[in-house]
Amino acid sequence: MHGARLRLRFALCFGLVLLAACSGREPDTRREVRLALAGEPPTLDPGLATDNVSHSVLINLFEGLTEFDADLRPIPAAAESWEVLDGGRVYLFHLKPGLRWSDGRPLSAVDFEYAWKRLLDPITASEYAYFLFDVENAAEYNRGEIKSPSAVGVRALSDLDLEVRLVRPTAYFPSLTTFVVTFPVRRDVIEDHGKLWTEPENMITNGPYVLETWDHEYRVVLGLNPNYAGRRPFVERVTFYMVEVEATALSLYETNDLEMVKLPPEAISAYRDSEEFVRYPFLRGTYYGFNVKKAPFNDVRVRRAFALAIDKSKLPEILQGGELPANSWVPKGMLAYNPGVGLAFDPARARALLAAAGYPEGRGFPEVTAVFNTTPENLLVAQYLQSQWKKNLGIEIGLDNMEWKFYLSRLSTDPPPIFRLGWGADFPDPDNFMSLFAGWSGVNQTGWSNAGYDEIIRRAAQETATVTRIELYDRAQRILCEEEVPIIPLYTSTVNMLVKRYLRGFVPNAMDIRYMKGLYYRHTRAGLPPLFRWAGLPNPGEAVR
Amino acid sequence: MKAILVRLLLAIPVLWGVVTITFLMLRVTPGGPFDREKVLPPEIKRNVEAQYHLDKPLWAQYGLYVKGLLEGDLGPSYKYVGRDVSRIIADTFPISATLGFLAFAFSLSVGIATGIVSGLRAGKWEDHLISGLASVGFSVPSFVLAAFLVYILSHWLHLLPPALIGSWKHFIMPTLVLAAGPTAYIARLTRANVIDTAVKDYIRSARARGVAEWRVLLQYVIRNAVTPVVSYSGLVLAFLITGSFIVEHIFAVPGMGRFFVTAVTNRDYPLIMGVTCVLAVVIILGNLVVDITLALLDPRLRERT
Repeated sequence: MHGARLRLRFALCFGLVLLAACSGREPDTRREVRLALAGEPPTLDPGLATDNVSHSVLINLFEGLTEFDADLRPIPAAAESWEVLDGGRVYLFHLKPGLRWSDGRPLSAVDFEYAWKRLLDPITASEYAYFLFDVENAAEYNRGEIKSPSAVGVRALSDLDLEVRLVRPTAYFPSLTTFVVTFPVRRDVIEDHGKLWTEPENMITNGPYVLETWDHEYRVVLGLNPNYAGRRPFVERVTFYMVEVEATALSLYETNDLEMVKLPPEAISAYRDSEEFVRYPFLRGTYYGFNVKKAPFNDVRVRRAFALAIDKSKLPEILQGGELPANSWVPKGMLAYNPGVGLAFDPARARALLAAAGYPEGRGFPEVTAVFNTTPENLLVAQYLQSQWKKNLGIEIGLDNMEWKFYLSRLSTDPPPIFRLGWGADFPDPDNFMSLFAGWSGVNQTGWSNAGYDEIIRRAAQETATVTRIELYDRAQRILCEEEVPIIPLYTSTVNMLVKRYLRGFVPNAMDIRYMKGLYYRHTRAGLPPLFRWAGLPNPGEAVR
Repeated sequence: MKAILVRLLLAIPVLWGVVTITFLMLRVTPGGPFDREKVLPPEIKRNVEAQYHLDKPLWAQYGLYVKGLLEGDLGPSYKYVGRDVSRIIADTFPISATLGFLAFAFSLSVGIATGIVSGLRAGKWEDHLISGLASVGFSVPSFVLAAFLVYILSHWLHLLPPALIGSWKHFIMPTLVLAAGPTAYIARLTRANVIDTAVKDYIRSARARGVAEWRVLLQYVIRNAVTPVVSYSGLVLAFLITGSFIVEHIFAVPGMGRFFVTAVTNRDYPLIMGVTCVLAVVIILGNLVVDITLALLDPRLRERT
């Protein structure tokens, strides 16, 4: 009896294997990962890309001098090491020997020099050229004040050595070189193909993957770069489908057409207990800013009262995405994060400040309107703030919402008394968040500026000792979030994802940069096709690493 | 033939009007293509705007655009760096058009067929069923219908993929959702006309002359009943083949319809102009085809033109 059953199983197995062989499709050994992109990448030119969609593809096609580890520390990538010379003013990067482009040509420091000068060239019209304004003469060259690119402080000393001269010591410079805009590009390819150089038939890359297919508006497919010198990735094919609607992406995940997906806020509660659910903080802060140039918010007591009157602990409940309420501006996961800084909820103190400003119990307070750009989440937050200010200050404020670009133009021409904005980190250094409100920043819509604050920010950027930097940023945060209060920090965002259980090696980081080269498959027995499990067959997709 | 030529010539000032009005409306709308959360430093914004001639006075920009248009150049997209609008339209329009024609064929065949059945069996259960379904198809918003179909056909029955393209199966749900409204409308239109025509004197006299019942239906009732459907279908066809924002969005179909919304939110001026021009041309052509078809169906119209 037993033997007969075994034989039957064996026959079935044999049949299965034959079937698999005949169909020409390997069962579950496909080393492909499929993900959703939030839209068509506006460009795959590292010098011109400014958005997350393009960046999430580019980060897998190219390799810069440095890359991030899980804790967002810059670690060597194309550079083997670097020296900091002249008191932090000069960086000398040494490239790993033997690195190649996808067409086999050796990677040279000259490729970096070309890429950086191209980024800064006013003809390129790159929106992110300012990322390299710390480099000597970079800003002047970009503005057209210097015509010759040879004056710019980046130079290939040899095939493997790249010298970068900075305007002033810059503590976070190795973080900047993880960023897409600093990636090397090939002069001959760009000159031969012009703006079509990023099409699959022309594109030459130096990262773990090459661009195999780009069906515009539909999908981008990456294949292995045969000349990549680093460890060969397990995943041989990465397909990004452009799916703008998060609920659609979730459907595709459910039908096993995607391996990873970002969860829409309304679906989070349904998946929170799933083993596939992954949540991690994201370096993006949301705040409400005041127009400090106009009454009533030109009075710091009123600004402080408004900040003290918000119970932010309810925000995660309202937004449902596990957002982290914040009183300070530097987000969790970044150097100098300090939850002890800032104005915590204190309605009694808020009312006292308001009374001192001449509005006891909110009486006589002028009519003001808080303005935000139209999204469901922004509306929820605005309504909550409105109710908090009414309850704790006795002030009824109006709400107004606008379409995004409309809103941006309103902010730059005539900032409303209170407005919502956010900021996502370009590189994980507090300077990127704190210099937002410096006097020289073009992004500061509050009209607030403070010489003491500016001086601290400037010093902190040049300081090389971490302990001193943290102290300086603590001081600056106290000015920003406790003393002057041009903004009320509200919360730090999170990323909520579903990742199939058989996909391993996904190491999330707070920049939400997803390197595909570390991913691999590991099938659990439960994940096997039922017939395989019944027949006791070995797992064909078992990954060996 | 001469009438067709005149119509085509008349289309030129219409198109020119569309281009000019759209161009001006875009420039009046607040917010520009390079307004960002991460505000660009002024020198960089200058470089970018110079690249797209946005630093020139408005009349010069208009002149450049019209000149390009006459040379068949719709300009570069501001959002999709390095891609020309003509290229983007050439990539996406065929997909929208395929979906649109499928939906159109479905609406016409199913709409007319059910409308006839419903009209001939007016007041009977078939009529109630069809009219009921038509009311649903007409009034349920397409995103609701899409979500419902995805739930039933993809998640529950595992019959169809929930989104993307790649096989014929992928086209079924988008086609159904796109066709729902027009099908329902055509069914109701046909039903009303069938009921209306069936009591006309010439039908009675045809029957009295002993014309076979199927001939009465086919040659007299139906032929007359579909005329209003034909005039309606021109505009429907134009909108169906230029794509639908909602359907393409929900089913992740890489068509042109999404740009009617996303290009506006991005303030991608040349792309908005491009898709608007395509829509205008298609509407003009659609109406022309309708008029020709009507002339073929109705000899009286042919004599007049």
